[in-house]
Amino acid sequence: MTNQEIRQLAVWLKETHLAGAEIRRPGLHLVLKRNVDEVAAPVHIAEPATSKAPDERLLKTPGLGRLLLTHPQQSEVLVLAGSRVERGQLVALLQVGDLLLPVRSEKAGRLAAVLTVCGTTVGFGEAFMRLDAAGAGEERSNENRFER
Amino acid sequence: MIEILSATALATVQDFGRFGSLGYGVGTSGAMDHLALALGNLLLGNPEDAAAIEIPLFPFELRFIEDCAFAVTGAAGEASLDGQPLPPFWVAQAREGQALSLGYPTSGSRAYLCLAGGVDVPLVLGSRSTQLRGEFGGLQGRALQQGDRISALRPGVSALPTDFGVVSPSQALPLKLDGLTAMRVLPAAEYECFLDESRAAFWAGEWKVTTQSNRYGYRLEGAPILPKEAMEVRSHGIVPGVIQVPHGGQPIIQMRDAQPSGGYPKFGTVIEADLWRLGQAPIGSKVRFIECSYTEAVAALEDNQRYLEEVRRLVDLHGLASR
Repeated sequence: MTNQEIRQLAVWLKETHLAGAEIRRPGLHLVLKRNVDEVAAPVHIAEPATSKAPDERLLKTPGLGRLLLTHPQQSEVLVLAGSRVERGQLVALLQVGDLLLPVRSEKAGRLAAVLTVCGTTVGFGEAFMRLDAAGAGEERSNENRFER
Repeated sequence: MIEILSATALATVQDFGRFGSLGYGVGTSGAMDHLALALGNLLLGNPEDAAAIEIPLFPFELRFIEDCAFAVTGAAGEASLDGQPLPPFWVAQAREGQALSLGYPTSGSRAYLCLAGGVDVPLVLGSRSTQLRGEFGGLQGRALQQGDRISALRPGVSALPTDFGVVSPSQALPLKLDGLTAMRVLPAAEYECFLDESRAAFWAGEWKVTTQSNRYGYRLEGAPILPKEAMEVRSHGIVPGVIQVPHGGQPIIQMRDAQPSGGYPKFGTVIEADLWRLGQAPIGSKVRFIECSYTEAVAALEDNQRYLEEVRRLVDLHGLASR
C-alpha cells in the first residue's frame, strides 16, 4: 500500500465521518484514527462483555457500520433464532453509507441467541450472535475437545 | 457466457438507450430502470451504461457456461445461485456450471442481470439496446429465448471484490404519496386545454397501472381527464415520459420503447429522474403524481447522479480496503 493510498483512505474516512480504520494482511498492519493525538499500534479494541459464552461460539462484527439482521428490502430475518447456521452462511449485513457488506458465519452451529438489535451501530469485533454446537456435526467434536 | 434455461418471454438486452436517431424515426429503447442498471454496473466496476439483461417475467433461470462475476439489481425477490440465497442489489462471482434462479419479485417488477464488462452484443447506431419494433440491436433484435447463449465482455474470476450490495434506489431516494409510489410530472403543451376539475383530479387521484402496460407505454386507469373542447393535434415528436390523453380520458405514459412521434394531446411528462419508478411499478399497482417545475426536475436528476456518485465512491473504497 502506497502513501498516496493511505492519504486517500484518510480523506475518505474524513468524508464519511468514520472514526478510524484498521487493515491487516500479511506484512501489513495499518491503523488510521481520526481526531487523536497519537496512535498506539497494535491497538487492542476492547470487546464488549455482552456474553459469558466461550469466545469460540460468538460471531463478531467484521467492521464498523450499522448491523442489519434483515435485508432492508426483505421482511424476514436472514437467520431465525434456533435454526442451523452453516459455515459461510450470510447471517447479517453491515451497512456503511449506501453499501451493504456481508457478515458470514465463520463456523457452523445452531443460532442460540442474537445479542444485538437490528440497526445498531457497531464497531469492529463486537459479538452480535451466539451459536451453540447442537447439530453441528464435526464442529461439535471440535468444541467438545475445547471444553474438556 | 451464460445460457438461458427457462422458457422466457420479453427479456431483452438493454443499455441506457440509443440516442441521436429520433430524427430518423428510431426510438431510444433502453432500460426501464436506469438507476438499477447503473447500480449493477457500478457494483461490477463496469461503465454505468454497459448493457445488461432486463427481465420482466419470472421465474427466470440461467446457467453460467464459464466463470463470470455478475450483479442482480432492480426488482427484488427470491434469488439464488446454486441454491445459495442472493440478496437484492448484490454482486457475486459465479463459477462455471452454476445456475442462477430469480423468483417472483416482492418489490419492483423488472430485474437486471449485469455481467462483468457488460453484455457482449454488437453496437447498432451507438447502442446495444434491443429495438423490438425495428428488430435490431440486442441479441438479433429480439427478446431472449430458452437456449440463447450470451457472452460477457470481461468473463472469468473478477479481480474486483464481489459478494456485497447496495441499498436500493427506492430506499435511498424514496418518493411516496399516501403510501403509494409517486412520480413528479411537468405539465406539457396541452395541459391548459383540460378542464380545471380534471387537472385537479389528476394530481389528487390514484392511478392504476393496467394490464395494457409494457415497454412501449403504460395505460393508466382513473378519473377520466376531459378537455375543455374537442382537440385535434398534428403528430409531433414525443419522448419517453410523455403523458398523452386519448379520447375517453384514460392517460397513456410513453415508456422506453415509445415511438418517436404521436398525435394525442400531451397532458404532462413524467420527469426523466422519476421514470424508473414507473418502470418498476407492477401491473395492477396504483401510483400518484406530483406537479413539479423545470428547475425541480433538473434538481431531481442531480439527486440521482449524486446518489450514483456516492455509491461509486463507496464501491471504490471497498475495493481499496479489500485488496
